[in-house]
This record gives sequence, structure tokens and C-alpha cells, in this order.
Amino acid sequence: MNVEKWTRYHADLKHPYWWGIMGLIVIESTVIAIFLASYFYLWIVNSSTSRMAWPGGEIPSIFYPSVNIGLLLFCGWSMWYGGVLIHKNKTKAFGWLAVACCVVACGVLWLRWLQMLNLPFSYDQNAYASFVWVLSSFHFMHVLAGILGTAVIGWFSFKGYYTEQRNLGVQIDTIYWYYIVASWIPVYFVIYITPRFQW
Amino acid sequence: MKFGSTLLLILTLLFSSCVGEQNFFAGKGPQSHEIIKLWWTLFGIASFVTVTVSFFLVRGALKKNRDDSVNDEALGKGLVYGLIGTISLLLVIIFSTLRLGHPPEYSEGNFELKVVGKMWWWQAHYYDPEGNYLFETANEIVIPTGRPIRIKLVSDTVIHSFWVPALAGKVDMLPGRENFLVVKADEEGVFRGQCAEFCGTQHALMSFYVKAVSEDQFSKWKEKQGKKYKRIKSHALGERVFINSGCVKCHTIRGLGVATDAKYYGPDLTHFGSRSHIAAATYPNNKGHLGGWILDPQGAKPGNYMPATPLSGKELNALLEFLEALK
Amino acid sequence: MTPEEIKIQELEKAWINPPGFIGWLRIVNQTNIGIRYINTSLIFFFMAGVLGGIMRAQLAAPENELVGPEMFNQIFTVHGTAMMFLFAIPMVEGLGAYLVPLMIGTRDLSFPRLSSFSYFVFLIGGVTLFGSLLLQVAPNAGWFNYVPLALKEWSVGKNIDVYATVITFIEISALAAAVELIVTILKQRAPGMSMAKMPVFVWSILVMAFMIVFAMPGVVVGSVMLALDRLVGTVFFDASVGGDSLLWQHLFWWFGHPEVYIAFLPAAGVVSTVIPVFCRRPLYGHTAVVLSMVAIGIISFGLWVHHMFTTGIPDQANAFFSVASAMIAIPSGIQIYCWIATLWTGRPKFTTALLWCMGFVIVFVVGGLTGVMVASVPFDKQTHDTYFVVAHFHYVLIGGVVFPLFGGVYYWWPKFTGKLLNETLGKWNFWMVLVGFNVAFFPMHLLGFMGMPRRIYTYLEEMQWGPLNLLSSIGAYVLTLGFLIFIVNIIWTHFKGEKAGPNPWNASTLEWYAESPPRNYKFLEIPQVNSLNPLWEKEELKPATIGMRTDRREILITEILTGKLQAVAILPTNTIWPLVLSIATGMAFIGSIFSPWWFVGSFFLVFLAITGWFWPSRPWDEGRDV
Repeated sequence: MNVEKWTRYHADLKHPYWWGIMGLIVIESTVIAIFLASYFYLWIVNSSTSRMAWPGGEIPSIFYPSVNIGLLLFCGWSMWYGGVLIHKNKTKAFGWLAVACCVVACGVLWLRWLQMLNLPFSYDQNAYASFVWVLSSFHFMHVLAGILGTAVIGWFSFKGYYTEQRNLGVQIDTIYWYYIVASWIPVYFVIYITPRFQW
Repeated sequence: MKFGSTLLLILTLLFSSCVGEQNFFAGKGPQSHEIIKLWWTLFGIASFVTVTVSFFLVRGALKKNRDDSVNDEALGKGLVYGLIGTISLLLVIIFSTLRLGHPPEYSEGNFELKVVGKMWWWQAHYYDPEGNYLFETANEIVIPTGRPIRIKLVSDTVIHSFWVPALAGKVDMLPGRENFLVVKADEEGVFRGQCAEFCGTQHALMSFYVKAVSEDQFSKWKEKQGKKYKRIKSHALGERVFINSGCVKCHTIRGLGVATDAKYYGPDLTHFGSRSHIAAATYPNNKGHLGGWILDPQGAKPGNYMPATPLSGKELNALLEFLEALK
Repeated sequence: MTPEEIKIQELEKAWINPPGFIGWLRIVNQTNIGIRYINTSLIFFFMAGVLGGIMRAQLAAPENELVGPEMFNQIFTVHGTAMMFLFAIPMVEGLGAYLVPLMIGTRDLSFPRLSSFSYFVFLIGGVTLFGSLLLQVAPNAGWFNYVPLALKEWSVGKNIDVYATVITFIEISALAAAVELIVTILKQRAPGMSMAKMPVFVWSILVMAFMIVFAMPGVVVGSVMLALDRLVGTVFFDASVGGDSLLWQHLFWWFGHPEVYIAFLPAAGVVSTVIPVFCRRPLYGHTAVVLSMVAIGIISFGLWVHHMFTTGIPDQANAFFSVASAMIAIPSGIQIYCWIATLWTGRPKFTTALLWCMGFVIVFVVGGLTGVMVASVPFDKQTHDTYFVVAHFHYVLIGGVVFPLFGGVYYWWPKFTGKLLNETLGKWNFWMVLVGFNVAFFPMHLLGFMGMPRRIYTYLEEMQWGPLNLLSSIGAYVLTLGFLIFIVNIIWTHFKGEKAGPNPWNASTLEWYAESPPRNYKFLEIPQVNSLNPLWEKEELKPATIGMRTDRREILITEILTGKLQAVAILPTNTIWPLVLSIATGMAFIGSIFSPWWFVGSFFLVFLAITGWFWPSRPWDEGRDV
């Protein structure tokens, strides 16, 4: 087989980096799954031993978290559409979508900051409070990391580095945004919605 | 000569595992009996498998005849037999385990004894069978023979584990959880127990004794332990030393003083003189060891919570007299 | 110069190791990184072994005063933590990092910079742990670090914070290496090497890597909760406000049980590699062995509660885990049968490597049987947390992991260094270790029966545990001497060892096709592979492609199941950024021992380092970077 003329650019499953980011996503998903399993474990233990009526205090309002889901979905969409544009070689347009994603994601961070300042409990009050604080803070960090990474990607796009052919970095950043959005949904459901059902 | 001394060594080793104060082959209660029986089943199976595997390994490696009669088909049959054999043995093990369940005479009902795991000693609270609180003691537990007694195991410190091998398996003591152990002593005797979950600096020397006595003696013991201390003039100096040297901050003597330090709370000493050992079964309870312990607890058990109490010879003697008289 | 000589010259240049100390820090090639992992793990193994020796000296006599409780508790904690986190995992990952690319016919791992990063993070973690021991603030609550003992209220001081930090480094290092091994094995095999034609050792690394990906998150979550409880005051483990101390145990053992199989499976893979070579026949039951390894990988996730039988969990739960723990003996047994069958029908040549594998079988079987015993709940209620368990796990870990790994070291030493280890010294090494090990650890079964709990720094004379403890300590010193002979062997071989060609053992797998030691680019041409034992086929190996560029680092990408050639990809060359990122990561976590703000600040440093890492170098149209 003569591979001399084969392209070395692969913005898809042929490139190891695609599998690498999937590996990272599998690992982080397992971490989240275990966090959520621990949450339910504590709920069950507390109920069966009558230690503390879970969640042990006030349940926070779902207004800001729900708005944030909408904003996060926009971020995911803007990166997806940006990927479509990159494949049509519209690199500047992609750059502006990356900027839009970053700006909206900053909005997500700002709303989350407001939300956490106004939570009806501090993180050391009880285990439920610890979960809400810790899971929200970790997601905050991941959104922040997404903003920083996307800013760099957007900058390179304006400089003309990403083209129709050469855009693996865009694909990986986009996949990771999908993950930032998708991973928040089960967490949101578990910590904000399920305590409202008292089994 | 080599074979003889090897055999002697093996027998010594085997025999030596049947002695010792905490040997679980002592089998003084129904649970420990059942476990010993289970052990011999497991040992038999394990020995058989070890010998078989070793035989085939060594033979396979050293055999001279390497003809082709043992082909892959024959090996395949061997694998199937091996699998059937292995699964059968595993099933034997699983069934003998499940069959054990709980020994007969396992009772429900109120717990008569609550043991609390402390840093690095055992606090014991006794209750009557109706659930009324009786008294507190430490490190030496008395139980009646011939009937089961239910023990509640808790901790308000870290995780400990209550283990008296002669009677039963161990049960952990976890903060925030209540675990129960039911033991029954077949005959009178003294059985040693030790903490079996790493709990910090002095985990190694956190032990205790269980004394099994007749039901009659058990009632008498409980009645005596429930009594408060009545001040005696001849012990006036000893009592004074106990209070003024700060002992009373951590050690309650009902009728003399109640401990106030919440974190470093120590064993109740109201009937200290009736105990056979001190410092969580570390030393025998006599004046010599007790004196050494009071003057330098950190030398004996570095890191434990009892500070040194410097006393003059006269004060120490008076204190020792007083404490040993608390029967 | 002939075209071939020109090609070699270009490949040497493209794959060069830059000179000097800074150059050494910039290397990303897996031949070097793999060797670094193996060397560093072995050094930590010997250091942890010395700690074991100190423990045995202290316990040789009752009421001994060689080491006090504070120091002893740090020593046994570091012994366990180092053996499990700084030896077992990195050693098998390092062996995988070195051997997998050679065995599957590629030039490097998928993410060379990540390999370098994960090595440096591992090194930082190990130095932190042993450094803390020198400073006498080492973790002291056991390698399993139960709460609430490990929480701030009961462990004042930085010891447990060091623990959480070191564990975090190892988590990052191991997870990165695991992802990389998976991607390399799935996507970079030589054309024609379908999964059915993949060597058993590569399978064992693949299963191990998947296990790491799913098991480590348990201890990640646990260590994060622990660090937060200690550092900022969250209450995940405080039973009075909704937490639970058993949560830690579940999280730790969700990882902790698969961890021992993570260590065992590659060792079993080594045995499956070494025995057929020295029996001069292919492994009997290749498919059964592979399926057994996969089965062990999966079943091992269903066993973790067997470490918690005495915690008061309902009997039905205990019963499930008890049965599962017994059942895992079946796939282990299948592998043992296949190894013995290979011996039985082969023509054995008793090299040191084969001896280690045979010793492994017996010791591991004994350990596995005591394991089935403690899987039985009532029996475990007596033996849990006693020296019986200490005996059990040393039999399965030393027998099941250390013996095969040393066998692997003897086997692959000519490949690593181009020289053969001395066989006479090797046999002395093996027999002294075998005898010393059994004298050291067999008496511990009996001590467990006599009621001796674990993790105690001393015991009273009246317990009568003295004689057996003394015997065990003597055995431990014989064991130590045996390992010293290994070190003598390495030194002797360095100066006087017999030179080895590419394939001194006449083995069948691709690593023996490369030179000894291999060039950084491994193979002049990546071969087309048509068989499970490529070097035992009558046909010579032929190149799979023409047209790969030799002036930069290129590798072939193939389909996951079939091994059909799909693409050519470019790998990065030497760079300093992995070291920079590892330093930033180190600052984040070591700093967090002292204040959370170090973590916050280092977050941004990490971002900068990652940006530098991926910064595309000009000219852009070379297709070199993403």
C-alpha cells in the first residue's frame, strides 16, 4: 500500500486525539456517575436509619440553574454550527461564533455565581449542601476551562489557522462543549429536581 | 535428619497456632464453633487443590516423555473436567457458608450491654432486660454463661471493631450507626478481645477482657457495679489526690466526682479495683503497674490521651490504696 | 549511501533524543518513558520493601522499642501506599508503555507528550510521599485511609492532606496512561493485526486500562470529598449532618478491589507470554485465556464489599459479594489450567524467567485459595483485619504480581538493554526469594488464627505471638537478600553481561523483530502482520506500506477490529511542555495542602501550560499539529 499521497489531516475518528477526548469524557462521566451514586447512597442511608430527613434543609430555587441550561444549550449549538461553517471554509464566521459561545458562557458563570451567593445554606451545613456546592463548583470550573479553551480556538481561527482541512482542534473543543452541556443535565436533575419528590 | 527436623518444625508451627489467649480455635461459643468447622472444610478443599495443582505443574514441567498423545482435544476435555471440579468445590464452599447462617438460640430482644469505642479504650453501659439503664464501666465486660446476650456496638470517635475470637466473629463500631452482636458463652472463663480496625496511634494496645460467669454471679456483679462510692475517712488523702491532681477531670467515680472533659473523657473508675487489668488490658491491675502507669502513661502507650501526673511518694501511695479499694 | 542507509539516517534524526539534561526532560518517545516508569517503579518497590523490613524488625519481638507507634503508623501506611500506587500500577503501565508499541508494530504511543506528563506527575507524587516520610508528616491512617480517623478532627496535621495529594497525582498519571494505552492498542496496531491476532499481553494491558478508567473514578471522588472535608469543611463523611463514614469505604474499595486485578492481569499476561516461549509451543487455549482475562476484569467490579463484611451491612448484601468473590476463582483457574497444559505439552527450558512463572503459579494458587476462604462471610468475620489477611494478600500480590513481573524483567532485559541477565545469579535470586517469601508470610496465617490483628506496632509478650513473628522476620531478611542478588545481577550484567541479538529466546511476538535495545523508531518499516505468532511463521515479515515519511514522526492508523490500514498520522516530537504542565499540576495539588488558593491560581497556570503544549508550530501546512 502506497501512503505517500494520503492526507495527514484527520478531523474525525481516524485521529487518535478524537479517541483521546472520548477517553477523557468517559472518565469524567464515570466520576459524575459515582458522585451521583454517592448522593443517592447517602439519601438512602439517611432515610433507612432515620438520621437526617434528606435534604435536611431548604431546597434551592431552580430559576438560575434552569436559565443556565438554556444558555448552555446555546453554547453547544453555537459550537456545532461553527463546525458546520468551518467545513465550508468560513473560518471568520466560526471565529465569531466561538466569541458568542464564550460570551454566553460567561453569562452562565455570572448567573451561577449569583446563584451560589444566594443559596439558602453553606457547604458545611449538611451533606446535601456539600453536594450542591461541590457539583456546581466543579461544573463552574469546567465551563471556565471551556471558555478559556474556546477563546484560544477562536483566536487561532481569526488568524487563519483553522481551515476546511485542518480543524481537529475545533472538533475536539466542540465535542468537549457537548460534554459540558450534557453532563450538567443529569446533575441538575439530581440535585435540584429529585429532592422535590419525597418518596 | 533433614526430614525429621522439618517435620518437627511443621508440627511445632501447627501446634503453636492452637495456643494463645486470643486464639479463635478456642471455640467457647456457638458462633466460633461453627466457624472452626467451616475452617476445616475450607482447609480440606484448599489443600486438595494446592496439592493437585502443584502435582500437575511439577509433573508437567519435569516429565521426560513428550510424545504427542496429549493433543489439544485431550487438553480440552481436561479443561472441562477441571471446570466442573472447580465449580463443584466452589458450590460446596458457598453452601457450607450459607448453611451457617446464625447459630441456634439467636435471640431478638433488648440489648443488655452497649459498648462504645473510645480512643483507645472500651466504654461499657449495662441495661436490664427491660431496657432500663443500670451503670457504666470500662474495658472489662462480664456476661452470663448459658444464654445469649445482645450487645449494641457504637462509636462516637472513629471506627473500631469489637472482637472476641473465642466467642464470635468481629463487628465494627461506626459513628452514626448501630451494630449488634449476640454472643453466648458455653462455659465460664475469661476471654480476651482486641480492637480489629485501625483507629490511630494506640490501636495496637486497645484490648479488653470478657468474663463469663454464672447467671447468679452476673446478677450479683451488676448489683455491685451499680452502687456508688461512699467516702471513707481512711481514704481521705487518696480522694483528695484524685480530685486535686486533675484525675477527676477525665475519670468519673460515681459518689466522688463526675468527669467534665468532653473530648478526653476516660474510663469510669467507680469499681476500678474489681478489674483484673488496666489501660485497656495492657497491664495486670496491681499497685506496681498502676503506679507506673499513673506517673508515666506516655512511656507505656505513647500518644494516648492520659497526661503524666507527677506525685510524691506519699500521694501516690495514698492514691493507689484508694483506687485498689474501689471493688 | 544506499537508500536504506539514507532512510535509517533520516529516521534517527526525526526520532532523536535531544542531548543534555534539558534534552532528557524534553523526551517524549515511549522507549525512554517506558524505561523511566519501570526504573522508577522498581526503585519505589525497593524503598517500600525497606519499610517492610523496618516493620518486621519492630515486630520480631514483643514490646519492642525500635520504632514507636507514630513512626510505625507512618511506615506501614507508606509501605502499602507506595507498593500499590507507586509500584504496582506504574510498573504494569510502564511495562505496557514500553512493550505494547513494540508488540503491535507501531512506532510510539498515541499521545507521546501525555506519556511524558504522566511520568512526571507520577514522579512528583512518589517524591512527595517519601519526602513526607523524611519530614515525618507522612500519611498515617493506612493506605486505605478510613474516615473518620482521616478527617481533620482525628488527624490533626498535614499527614492526610499529603495522602490526598499523592493519591490525586497517581490518579491523574494512571488515568492518562490508561487512555493512551487503550487508544494505542485499538487504533495503532500493525496492518493485518486484527484483535484475534493480538498478543495475550496486549490484551491484558487493554483490559487493565479499561479497568483503570472505570475503577479509579471511585477513589477520585473519595479523595476529592476527603480533601474538601479537610480543606474547606464540607461534610460528606459526617454522620451527624447527613454524611456517612461507610461512603468512603464504598468509594475506596470500588477502586481498591479492581486495583489488585489491575496489577494482576498484566502479570498474568507476562506469564502467558513467557511460558509458551520457554515451552517452545504456542499458548494452549489462547481464546480461553483472553476471555478469562476479560471476565476477571468485569467480575472484579462486583466484589468490593468483601472488604466490608464486618461493617454491619445486611446479610443478603454480604451474601451476593461473597458468592461473586468465590466465582472469580473460575476464570483464574482457567488460565492456570492453560499454563499447565502448555508446560505439559511443550518442551520446557528452565530459564530464570520460566522459574519465576512456575513459582508464581504455586504461590498465587495458595493465595487465591485463602482468598476463597475469606470470601466466606463467617470465616471472614474471624479473620478480617488479622494477619491471616496479610498473609493472603501478600501471597496473591507477591506471588501473583511480583513474581511474574520479575520473570518479565528477566525475559525482556535483553530487549531493554541488549544484554542477557546472568542465569546463575538469576536462579539464586529466584530460589532465595521463593524460600524467604514463604518463611516470611506463611506463619502469618497462623498468627491470624492466634488472634493477631493487623496494623499494630507492637504486642504483649503474653500473647505468645513472638516466636512466629521472629520466624517471619527472619524469612523477610532472606527475601531481602534474594532481592539484593537481583541488584547484584543488574550491576554484574551491566559490566560483564552477554550480548543479546534481536531474538535470543526465539520468541514469537513482534518486539523481538526490533533490535536489542530497539531504536527509537522501533522498526525500519512497519510490518504487515498475518498471524498470532508472527516470528514463528515460515514467511519473512514484509513492510505494510511504502511512502511513510521518514523526516518526521509518522505512524499508521488501523481499524479497531480488523486491523485494516486506515490512515497515516503525525506524532509530536520532543518538547518541554509536559514537564511544565506537570509542575503546574504539582503546584496545584501540593499547594492545596497549605491553602485552597494555590489550587485556584494553578488552574490558570495549567491553562497556560496546555495552551503552550498545543500551540501549533510554523509552518502550519506541514500538517504536524491539530
